[in-house]
Amino acid sequence: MENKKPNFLQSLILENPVFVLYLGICSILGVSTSLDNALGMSLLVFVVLLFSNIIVSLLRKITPNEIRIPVYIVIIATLVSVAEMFIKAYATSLYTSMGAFISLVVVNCIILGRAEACASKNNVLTSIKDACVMGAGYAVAIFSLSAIRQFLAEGGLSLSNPLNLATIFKFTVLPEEFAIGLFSKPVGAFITFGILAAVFAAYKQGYEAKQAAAAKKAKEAK
Amino acid sequence: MQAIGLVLVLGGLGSVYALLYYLNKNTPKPEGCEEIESSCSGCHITSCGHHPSHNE
Amino acid sequence: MGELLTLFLSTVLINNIILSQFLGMCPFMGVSKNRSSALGMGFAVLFVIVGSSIITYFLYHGVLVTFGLEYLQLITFILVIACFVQFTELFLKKFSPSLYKSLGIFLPLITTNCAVLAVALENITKKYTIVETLVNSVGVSVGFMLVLYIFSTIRERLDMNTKTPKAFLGNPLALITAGLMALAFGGLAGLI
Repeated sequence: MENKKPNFLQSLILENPVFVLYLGICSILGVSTSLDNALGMSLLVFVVLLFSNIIVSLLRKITPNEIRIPVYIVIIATLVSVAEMFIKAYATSLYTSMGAFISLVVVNCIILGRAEACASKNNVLTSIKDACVMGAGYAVAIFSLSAIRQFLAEGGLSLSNPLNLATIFKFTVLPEEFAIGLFSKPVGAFITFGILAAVFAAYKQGYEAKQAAAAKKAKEAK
Repeated sequence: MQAIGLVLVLGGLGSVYALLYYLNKNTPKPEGCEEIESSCSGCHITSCGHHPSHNE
Repeated sequence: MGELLTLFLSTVLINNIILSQFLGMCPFMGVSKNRSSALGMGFAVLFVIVGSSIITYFLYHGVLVTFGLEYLQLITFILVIACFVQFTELFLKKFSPSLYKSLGIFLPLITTNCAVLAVALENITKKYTIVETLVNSVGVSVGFMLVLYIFSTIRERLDMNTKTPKAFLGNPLALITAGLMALAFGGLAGLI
Protein backbone atom coordinates (compact mmCIF):
# COMPACT_ATOMS: atom_id res chain seq x y z
CA MET A 1 0.00 0.00 0.00
CA GLU A 2 1.49 3.32 -0.98
CA ASN A 3 -0.51 5.34 1.53
CA LYS A 4 0.94 5.80 4.99
CA LYS A 5 -1.34 4.85 7.85
CA PRO A 6 -2.30 7.92 9.88
CA ASN A 7 -0.58 8.30 13.22
CA PHE A 8 -2.48 8.46 16.51
CA LEU A 9 -3.18 12.20 16.42
CA GLN A 10 -4.32 12.10 12.82
CA SER A 11 -6.57 9.11 13.39
CA LEU A 12 -8.17 10.96 16.31
CA ILE A 13 -9.44 13.46 13.77
CA LEU A 14 -9.90 11.33 10.67
CA GLU A 15 -11.77 8.47 12.35
CA ASN A 16 -13.32 10.41 15.20
CA PRO A 17 -16.37 8.41 16.31
CA VAL A 18 -18.44 11.54 16.91
CA PHE A 19 -17.67 13.98 14.15
CA VAL A 20 -16.89 11.56 11.35
CA LEU A 21 -18.94 8.43 12.09
CA TYR A 22 -21.76 10.32 13.85
CA LEU A 23 -22.08 7.80 16.68
CA GLY A 24 -23.14 8.74 20.18
CA ILE A 25 -24.48 12.14 19.14
CA CYS A 26 -27.40 12.17 21.60
CA SER A 27 -25.24 12.26 24.71
CA ILE A 28 -22.79 14.82 23.34
CA LEU A 29 -25.39 17.35 22.26
CA GLY A 30 -27.31 17.06 25.49
CA VAL A 31 -24.46 17.25 27.94
CA SER A 32 -21.90 19.60 26.38
CA THR A 33 -23.02 22.80 28.10
CA SER A 34 -19.97 23.14 30.33
CA LEU A 35 -16.49 21.71 30.79
CA ASP A 36 -17.49 20.02 34.07
CA ASN A 37 -20.11 18.00 32.24
CA ALA A 38 -17.66 17.22 29.47
CA LEU A 39 -15.13 15.91 31.98
CA GLY A 40 -17.73 13.77 33.74
CA MET A 41 -19.25 12.37 30.57
CA SER A 42 -15.97 11.56 28.85
CA LEU A 43 -14.68 9.81 31.98
CA LEU A 44 -17.91 7.83 32.25
CA VAL A 45 -17.86 6.78 28.61
CA PHE A 46 -14.17 5.90 28.77
CA VAL A 47 -14.51 3.77 31.91
CA VAL A 48 -17.60 1.94 30.62
CA LEU A 49 -16.00 1.42 27.20
CA LEU A 50 -12.77 0.11 28.73
CA PHE A 51 -14.43 -2.34 31.09
CA SER A 52 -16.98 -3.51 28.56
CA ASN A 53 -14.24 -4.15 25.99
CA ILE A 54 -12.24 -6.11 28.57
CA ILE A 55 -15.19 -8.22 29.71
CA VAL A 56 -16.52 -8.86 26.20
CA SER A 57 -13.04 -9.81 25.02
CA LEU A 58 -12.57 -12.19 27.95
CA LEU A 59 -15.92 -13.81 27.27
CA ARG A 60 -15.66 -13.91 23.53
CA LYS A 61 -14.94 -17.62 23.25
CA ILE A 62 -17.93 -18.72 25.29
CA THR A 63 -20.75 -16.40 24.17
CA PRO A 64 -22.96 -18.14 21.62
CA ASN A 65 -23.04 -16.22 18.37
CA GLU A 66 -26.83 -15.86 18.21
CA ILE A 67 -27.46 -14.07 21.48
CA ARG A 68 -24.27 -12.02 21.60
CA ILE A 69 -25.95 -8.63 21.20
CA PRO A 70 -28.25 -8.95 24.26
CA VAL A 71 -25.32 -10.40 26.24
CA TYR A 72 -23.25 -7.32 25.41
CA ILE A 73 -26.20 -5.11 26.24
CA VAL A 74 -26.62 -6.74 29.66
CA ILE A 75 -22.89 -6.36 30.39
CA ILE A 76 -22.93 -2.71 29.41
CA ALA A 77 -26.17 -2.09 31.33
CA THR A 78 -24.70 -3.60 34.49
CA LEU A 79 -21.58 -1.43 34.16
CA VAL A 80 -23.66 1.69 33.60
CA SER A 81 -25.93 0.91 36.58
CA VAL A 82 -22.88 0.55 38.82
CA ALA A 83 -21.32 3.73 37.43
CA GLU A 84 -24.58 5.62 37.94
CA MET A 85 -24.68 4.60 41.58
CA PHE A 86 -21.07 5.73 42.01
CA ILE A 87 -21.78 9.10 40.44
CA LYS A 88 -24.92 9.55 42.52
CA ALA A 89 -22.94 8.90 45.68
CA TYR A 90 -19.64 10.63 45.05
CA ALA A 91 -20.31 13.37 42.49
CA THR A 92 -23.86 14.52 43.13
CA SER A 93 -23.47 17.78 41.24
CA LEU A 94 -22.62 15.83 38.09
CA TYR A 95 -25.64 13.60 38.69
CA THR A 96 -28.01 16.57 38.72
CA SER A 97 -26.45 18.30 35.74
CA MET A 98 -26.16 15.25 33.48
CA GLY A 99 -29.48 13.78 34.55
CA ALA A 100 -30.95 11.10 32.36
CA PHE A 101 -27.98 11.05 30.01
CA ILE A 102 -25.99 8.90 32.43
CA SER A 103 -28.44 6.02 32.01
CA LEU A 104 -28.51 6.58 28.26
CA VAL A 105 -24.84 5.67 27.97
CA VAL A 106 -26.19 2.10 27.76
CA VAL A 107 -27.45 2.67 24.24
CA ASN A 108 -24.51 4.79 23.19
CA CYS A 109 -23.70 3.50 19.73
CA ILE A 110 -19.95 3.82 20.30
CA ILE A 111 -19.77 1.37 23.21
CA LEU A 112 -21.98 -1.30 21.69
CA GLY A 113 -20.39 -0.80 18.28
CA ARG A 114 -16.85 -1.27 19.59
CA ALA A 115 -17.88 -4.31 21.63
CA GLU A 116 -19.39 -5.79 18.49
CA ALA A 117 -16.73 -4.79 15.98
CA CYS A 118 -13.50 -5.07 17.95
CA ALA A 119 -13.72 -6.66 21.38
CA SER A 120 -15.64 -9.72 20.25
CA LYS A 121 -12.95 -10.62 17.76
CA ASN A 122 -9.65 -9.65 19.36
CA ASN A 123 -7.72 -10.38 22.52
CA VAL A 124 -7.78 -8.27 25.64
CA LEU A 125 -4.75 -6.11 24.86
CA THR A 126 -6.03 -5.03 21.45
CA SER A 127 -9.44 -4.31 22.95
CA ILE A 128 -7.91 -2.11 25.63
CA LYS A 129 -5.93 -0.20 23.02
CA ASP A 130 -9.08 0.25 20.92
CA ALA A 131 -11.02 1.48 23.94
CA CYS A 132 -8.31 4.05 24.64
CA VAL A 133 -8.33 5.32 21.07
CA MET A 134 -12.12 5.58 20.86
CA GLY A 135 -12.34 7.09 24.33
CA ALA A 136 -9.73 9.68 23.39
CA GLY A 137 -11.65 10.51 20.21
CA TYR A 138 -14.86 10.96 22.19
CA ALA A 139 -13.09 13.13 24.77
CA VAL A 140 -11.60 15.36 22.06
CA ALA A 141 -15.05 15.77 20.54
CA ILE A 142 -16.93 16.55 23.72
CA PHE A 143 -14.27 18.85 25.15
CA SER A 144 -14.02 20.90 21.96
CA LEU A 145 -17.80 21.22 21.68
CA SER A 146 -18.25 22.11 25.36
CA ALA A 147 -15.38 24.59 25.38
CA ILE A 148 -16.80 26.48 22.41
CA ARG A 149 -20.34 26.46 23.76
CA GLN A 150 -19.39 27.50 27.26
CA PHE A 151 -17.01 30.18 26.06
CA LEU A 152 -19.61 31.76 23.82
CA ALA A 153 -22.48 31.37 26.26
CA GLU A 154 -20.77 32.58 29.43
CA GLY A 155 -17.83 34.58 28.17
CA GLY A 156 -15.25 32.35 29.83
CA LEU A 157 -14.35 28.84 30.85
CA SER A 158 -14.46 27.11 34.20
CA LEU A 159 -13.61 23.64 35.41
CA SER A 160 -14.14 22.18 38.84
CA ASN A 161 -13.29 18.88 40.44
CA PRO A 162 -16.51 16.81 40.45
CA LEU A 163 -15.64 14.97 43.64
CA ASN A 164 -15.24 17.90 46.01
CA LEU A 165 -16.38 20.84 43.88
CA ALA A 166 -13.03 22.61 44.18
CA THR A 167 -12.50 24.97 41.27
CA ILE A 168 -9.55 23.99 39.09
CA PHE A 169 -9.65 27.06 36.94
CA LYS A 170 -12.12 29.76 36.11
CA PHE A 171 -11.56 32.73 33.87
CA THR A 172 -13.80 35.15 32.06
CA VAL A 173 -12.63 36.79 28.88
CA LEU A 174 -15.67 38.36 27.28
CA PRO A 175 -17.72 40.80 29.36
CA GLU A 176 -21.28 39.91 30.32
CA GLU A 177 -22.94 41.90 27.55
CA PHE A 178 -21.17 40.02 24.78
CA ALA A 179 -22.08 36.54 25.96
CA ILE A 180 -24.49 34.85 23.55
CA GLY A 181 -26.89 32.88 25.71
CA LEU A 182 -28.19 31.03 22.68
CA PHE A 183 -25.24 28.65 22.75
CA SER A 184 -26.36 26.96 25.92
CA LYS A 185 -29.69 26.16 24.23
CA PRO A 186 -30.38 23.36 21.70
CA VAL A 187 -29.94 25.77 18.77
CA GLY A 188 -26.37 26.50 19.72
CA ALA A 189 -25.64 22.81 20.21
CA PHE A 190 -26.77 21.87 16.72
CA ILE A 191 -25.10 24.76 14.97
CA THR A 192 -21.75 24.38 16.78
CA PHE A 193 -21.81 20.65 16.17
CA GLY A 194 -22.52 21.20 12.48
CA ILE A 195 -19.68 23.68 12.10
CA LEU A 196 -17.23 21.45 13.97
CA ALA A 197 -18.31 18.48 11.85
CA ALA A 198 -17.62 20.57 8.74
CA VAL A 199 -14.15 21.44 10.10
CA PHE A 200 -13.38 17.76 10.62
CA ALA A 201 -14.74 16.92 7.16
CA ALA A 202 -12.57 19.64 5.63
CA TYR A 203 -9.49 18.20 7.34
CA LYS A 204 -10.40 14.74 6.11
CA GLN A 205 -10.90 15.96 2.55
CA GLY A 206 -7.55 17.77 2.65
CA TYR A 207 -5.85 14.65 3.95
CA GLU A 208 -7.40 12.46 1.28
CA ALA A 209 -6.45 14.93 -1.45
CA LYS A 210 -2.85 14.84 -0.24
CA GLN A 211 -2.90 11.03 -0.20
CA ALA A 212 -4.31 10.92 -3.74
CA ALA A 213 -1.68 13.37 -4.99
CA ALA A 214 1.10 11.35 -3.34
CA ALA A 215 -0.23 8.11 -4.83
CA LYS A 216 -0.43 9.68 -8.27
CA LYS A 217 3.13 10.97 -7.98
CA ALA A 218 4.32 7.53 -6.92
CA LYS A 219 2.58 5.95 -9.91
CA GLU A 220 4.05 8.47 -12.35
CA ALA A 221 7.51 7.96 -10.90
CA LYS A 222 7.39 4.23 -11.68
CA MET B 1 -36.38 -13.29 48.39
CA GLN B 2 -34.36 -10.79 46.41
CA ALA B 3 -32.11 -13.45 44.98
CA ILE B 4 -35.07 -15.48 43.75
CA GLY B 5 -36.56 -12.37 42.18
CA LEU B 6 -33.24 -11.52 40.52
CA VAL B 7 -32.89 -14.97 38.97
CA LEU B 8 -36.54 -15.06 37.92
CA VAL B 9 -36.57 -11.64 36.28
CA LEU B 10 -33.23 -11.80 34.48
CA GLY B 11 -33.52 -15.48 33.61
CA GLY B 12 -37.08 -15.04 32.43
CA LEU B 13 -36.29 -12.07 30.23
CA GLY B 14 -33.17 -13.72 28.86
CA SER B 15 -35.01 -16.88 27.93
CA VAL B 16 -37.89 -14.91 26.39
CA TYR B 17 -35.37 -13.07 24.26
CA ALA B 18 -33.57 -16.26 23.25
CA LEU B 19 -36.87 -17.87 22.28
CA LEU B 20 -38.04 -14.87 20.26
CA TYR B 21 -34.66 -14.54 18.54
CA TYR B 22 -34.70 -18.22 17.63
CA LEU B 23 -38.23 -17.98 16.22
CA ASN B 24 -37.35 -14.80 14.39
CA LYS B 25 -34.23 -16.29 12.83
CA ASN B 26 -36.12 -19.30 11.56
CA THR B 27 -38.93 -17.29 10.01
CA PRO B 28 -37.93 -16.53 6.44
CA LYS B 29 -38.36 -13.03 5.14
CA PRO B 30 -41.40 -12.61 2.91
CA GLU B 31 -40.74 -12.46 -0.83
CA GLY B 32 -39.55 -9.16 -2.19
CA CYS B 33 -37.85 -8.19 1.05
CA GLU B 34 -34.34 -9.38 0.31
CA GLU B 35 -33.32 -6.16 -1.38
CA ILE B 36 -34.35 -3.69 1.31
CA GLU B 37 -30.98 -3.65 3.00
CA SER B 38 -29.41 -1.83 0.09
CA SER B 39 -30.91 1.44 1.33
CA CYS B 40 -28.87 1.19 4.54
CA SER B 41 -25.59 2.06 2.84
CA GLY B 42 -23.01 4.04 4.76
CA CYS B 43 -24.54 3.49 8.17
CA HIS B 44 -21.94 3.00 10.89
CA ILE B 45 -24.27 1.67 13.56
CA THR B 46 -22.94 -1.89 13.76
CA SER B 47 -25.32 -2.95 16.50
CA CYS B 48 -28.22 -2.93 14.01
CA GLY B 49 -29.25 -6.43 12.98
CA HIS B 50 -29.19 -5.64 9.27
CA HIS B 51 -25.62 -4.32 9.16
CA PRO B 52 -23.59 -6.08 6.44
CA SER B 53 -20.89 -7.06 8.94
CA HIS B 54 -23.33 -9.63 10.35
CA ASN B 55 -23.75 -11.60 7.14
CA GLU B 56 -20.60 -13.72 7.45
CA MET C 1 -58.43 16.09 30.36
CA GLY C 2 -56.85 19.53 30.04
CA GLU C 3 -53.74 18.29 31.79
CA LEU C 4 -53.42 15.40 29.40
CA LEU C 5 -53.73 17.75 26.45
CA THR C 6 -51.05 20.00 27.93
CA LEU C 7 -48.82 16.96 28.42
CA PHE C 8 -49.40 15.87 24.83
CA LEU C 9 -48.69 19.30 23.37
CA SER C 10 -45.59 19.78 25.46
CA THR C 11 -44.12 16.44 24.41
CA VAL C 12 -44.89 17.01 20.73
CA LEU C 13 -43.97 20.66 20.29
CA ILE C 14 -42.21 22.20 23.25
CA ASN C 15 -39.97 19.52 24.73
CA ASN C 16 -39.67 17.82 21.39
CA ILE C 17 -37.66 14.65 21.74
CA ILE C 18 -35.22 15.47 18.95
CA LEU C 19 -35.01 19.24 18.95
CA SER C 20 -34.98 19.92 22.67
CA GLN C 21 -33.99 16.72 24.40
CA PHE C 22 -31.53 15.52 21.72
CA LEU C 23 -32.71 11.92 21.91
CA GLY C 24 -33.19 9.68 18.90
CA MET C 25 -30.53 11.45 16.86
CA CYS C 26 -28.80 8.42 15.33
CA PRO C 27 -31.58 7.51 12.90
CA PHE C 28 -32.17 11.22 12.39
CA MET C 29 -28.91 11.41 10.46
CA GLY C 30 -29.21 8.13 8.60
CA VAL C 31 -32.87 7.70 7.76
CA SER C 32 -34.02 11.22 6.97
CA LYS C 33 -32.90 11.31 3.38
CA ASN C 34 -36.29 10.75 1.80
CA ARG C 35 -39.86 11.17 2.90
CA SER C 36 -41.11 7.60 2.68
CA SER C 37 -38.35 6.18 4.84
CA ALA C 38 -38.90 9.00 7.35
CA LEU C 39 -42.58 8.08 7.62
CA GLY C 40 -41.72 4.39 7.90
CA MET C 41 -39.24 5.07 10.67
CA GLY C 42 -41.75 7.28 12.45
CA PHE C 43 -44.43 4.61 12.51
CA ALA C 44 -42.00 1.93 13.62
CA VAL C 45 -40.82 4.16 16.46
CA LEU C 46 -44.43 4.91 17.43
CA PHE C 47 -45.25 1.24 17.75
CA VAL C 48 -42.09 0.32 19.66
CA ILE C 49 -42.23 3.26 22.08
CA VAL C 50 -45.90 2.80 22.98
CA GLY C 51 -45.63 -0.96 23.32
CA SER C 52 -42.44 -1.00 25.33
CA SER C 53 -43.57 1.87 27.59
CA ILE C 54 -46.67 -0.07 28.58
CA ILE C 55 -44.77 -3.31 29.17
CA THR C 56 -41.97 -1.65 31.16
CA TYR C 57 -44.52 0.28 33.23
CA PHE C 58 -46.27 -2.90 34.31
CA LEU C 59 -42.99 -4.74 34.78
CA TYR C 60 -41.63 -2.02 37.04
CA HIS C 61 -44.67 -1.45 39.19
CA GLY C 62 -45.75 -5.06 39.25
CA VAL C 63 -42.56 -7.09 39.49
CA LEU C 64 -39.55 -4.94 40.32
CA VAL C 65 -41.19 -3.00 43.12
CA THR C 66 -42.68 -6.08 44.80
CA PHE C 67 -39.32 -7.84 44.82
CA GLY C 68 -37.45 -4.71 45.83
CA LEU C 69 -35.28 -4.83 42.73
CA GLU C 70 -35.57 -1.22 41.53
CA TYR C 71 -31.85 -1.04 40.84
CA LEU C 72 -32.32 -3.56 38.03
CA GLN C 73 -34.49 -1.18 36.09
CA LEU C 74 -31.91 -0.27 33.46
CA ILE C 75 -31.06 -3.88 32.61
CA THR C 76 -34.64 -5.10 32.58
CA PHE C 77 -35.91 -2.17 30.52
CA ILE C 78 -33.31 -2.61 27.81
CA LEU C 79 -33.97 -6.36 27.70
CA VAL C 80 -37.70 -5.74 27.41
CA ILE C 81 -37.13 -3.31 24.54
CA ALA C 82 -34.92 -5.83 22.74
CA CYS C 83 -37.53 -8.59 23.23
CA PHE C 84 -40.31 -6.33 22.03
CA VAL C 85 -38.42 -5.42 18.86
CA GLN C 86 -37.76 -9.10 18.10
CA PHE C 87 -41.42 -9.86 18.73
CA THR C 88 -42.53 -7.05 16.44
CA GLU C 89 -40.26 -8.24 13.66
CA LEU C 90 -41.54 -11.81 14.05
CA PHE C 91 -45.15 -10.62 14.05
CA LEU C 92 -44.70 -8.50 10.95
CA LYS C 93 -42.89 -11.24 9.06
CA LYS C 94 -45.69 -13.70 9.70
CA PHE C 95 -48.81 -11.57 9.48
CA SER C 96 -48.09 -8.51 7.40
CA PRO C 97 -45.31 -8.84 4.79
CA SER C 98 -46.23 -5.50 3.21
CA LEU C 99 -45.70 -3.69 6.50
CA TYR C 100 -42.46 -5.62 6.98
CA LYS C 101 -41.32 -4.41 3.59
CA SER C 102 -41.79 -0.77 4.57
CA LEU C 103 -40.88 -0.84 8.28
CA GLY C 104 -38.76 -3.94 8.63
CA ILE C 105 -35.30 -2.51 8.15
CA PHE C 106 -35.80 0.13 10.80
CA LEU C 107 -36.79 -2.21 13.61
CA PRO C 108 -33.38 -3.50 14.73
CA LEU C 109 -32.11 0.08 14.71
CA ILE C 110 -34.77 1.07 17.23
CA THR C 111 -33.41 -1.33 19.85
CA THR C 112 -30.49 0.98 20.56
CA ASN C 113 -32.41 4.19 20.01
CA CYS C 114 -31.96 6.58 22.94
CA ALA C 115 -35.53 7.80 22.69
CA VAL C 116 -37.20 4.47 23.55
CA LEU C 117 -35.13 3.90 26.68
CA ALA C 118 -35.44 7.55 27.70
CA VAL C 119 -39.25 7.48 27.51
CA ALA C 120 -39.41 4.23 29.50
CA LEU C 121 -37.17 5.68 32.22
CA GLU C 122 -38.99 9.03 32.23
CA ASN C 123 -42.33 7.36 32.87
CA ILE C 124 -40.85 5.92 36.04
CA THR C 125 -38.89 8.91 37.32
CA LYS C 126 -41.76 11.31 36.75
CA LYS C 127 -44.17 8.87 38.40
CA TYR C 128 -46.82 8.96 35.69
CA THR C 129 -50.06 7.00 35.89
CA ILE C 130 -50.82 4.52 33.13
CA VAL C 131 -52.89 7.05 31.19
CA GLU C 132 -50.18 9.68 31.43
CA THR C 133 -47.65 7.07 30.33
CA LEU C 134 -49.73 6.36 27.26
CA VAL C 135 -50.13 10.03 26.40
CA ASN C 136 -46.42 10.69 26.96
CA SER C 137 -45.36 7.79 24.73
CA VAL C 138 -47.74 8.71 21.92
CA GLY C 139 -46.74 12.36 22.20
CA VAL C 140 -43.03 11.60 22.02
CA SER C 141 -43.46 9.39 18.96
CA VAL C 142 -45.70 11.92 17.19
CA GLY C 143 -43.13 14.62 17.91
CA PHE C 144 -40.36 12.39 16.57
CA MET C 145 -42.31 11.57 13.41
CA LEU C 146 -43.24 15.22 12.83
CA VAL C 147 -39.68 16.49 13.07
CA LEU C 148 -38.28 13.61 11.05
CA TYR C 149 -40.81 14.19 8.26
CA ILE C 150 -40.24 17.95 8.11
CA PHE C 151 -36.51 17.38 8.16
CA SER C 152 -36.66 14.84 5.34
CA THR C 153 -38.64 17.23 3.15
CA ILE C 154 -35.97 19.88 3.68
CA ARG C 155 -33.11 17.45 3.25
CA GLU C 156 -34.34 16.20 -0.10
CA ARG C 157 -33.52 19.60 -1.52
CA LEU C 158 -30.60 20.58 0.66
CA ASP C 159 -27.82 18.96 -1.29
CA MET C 160 -28.98 20.26 -4.65
CA ASN C 161 -27.41 23.66 -4.01
CA THR C 162 -24.14 23.78 -5.88
CA LYS C 163 -22.71 26.71 -3.97
CA THR C 164 -22.37 24.89 -0.62
CA PRO C 165 -18.73 24.57 0.47
CA LYS C 166 -17.57 20.99 0.02
CA ALA C 167 -16.87 20.45 3.70
CA PHE C 168 -20.43 21.30 4.64
CA LEU C 169 -22.16 18.90 2.25
CA GLY C 170 -24.22 16.15 3.79
CA ASN C 171 -24.43 15.86 7.54
CA PRO C 172 -22.88 19.16 8.74
CA LEU C 173 -25.37 21.21 6.77
CA ALA C 174 -28.19 18.94 7.95
CA LEU C 175 -27.17 19.60 11.55
CA ILE C 176 -27.19 23.35 11.08
CA THR C 177 -30.65 23.05 9.53
CA ALA C 178 -31.73 21.07 12.58
CA GLY C 179 -30.45 23.94 14.71
CA LEU C 180 -32.64 26.40 12.85
CA MET C 181 -35.60 24.06 13.31
CA ALA C 182 -34.82 23.92 17.04
CA LEU C 183 -34.92 27.72 17.11
CA ALA C 184 -38.30 27.69 15.37
CA PHE C 185 -39.75 25.07 17.71
CA GLY C 186 -38.34 26.91 20.71
CA GLY C 187 -40.65 29.76 19.87
CA LEU C 188 -43.62 27.49 20.46
CA ALA C 189 -42.89 27.45 24.19
CA GLY C 190 -45.33 30.30 24.61
CA LEU C 191 -48.17 28.00 23.60
CA ILE C 192 -48.73 26.69 27.12
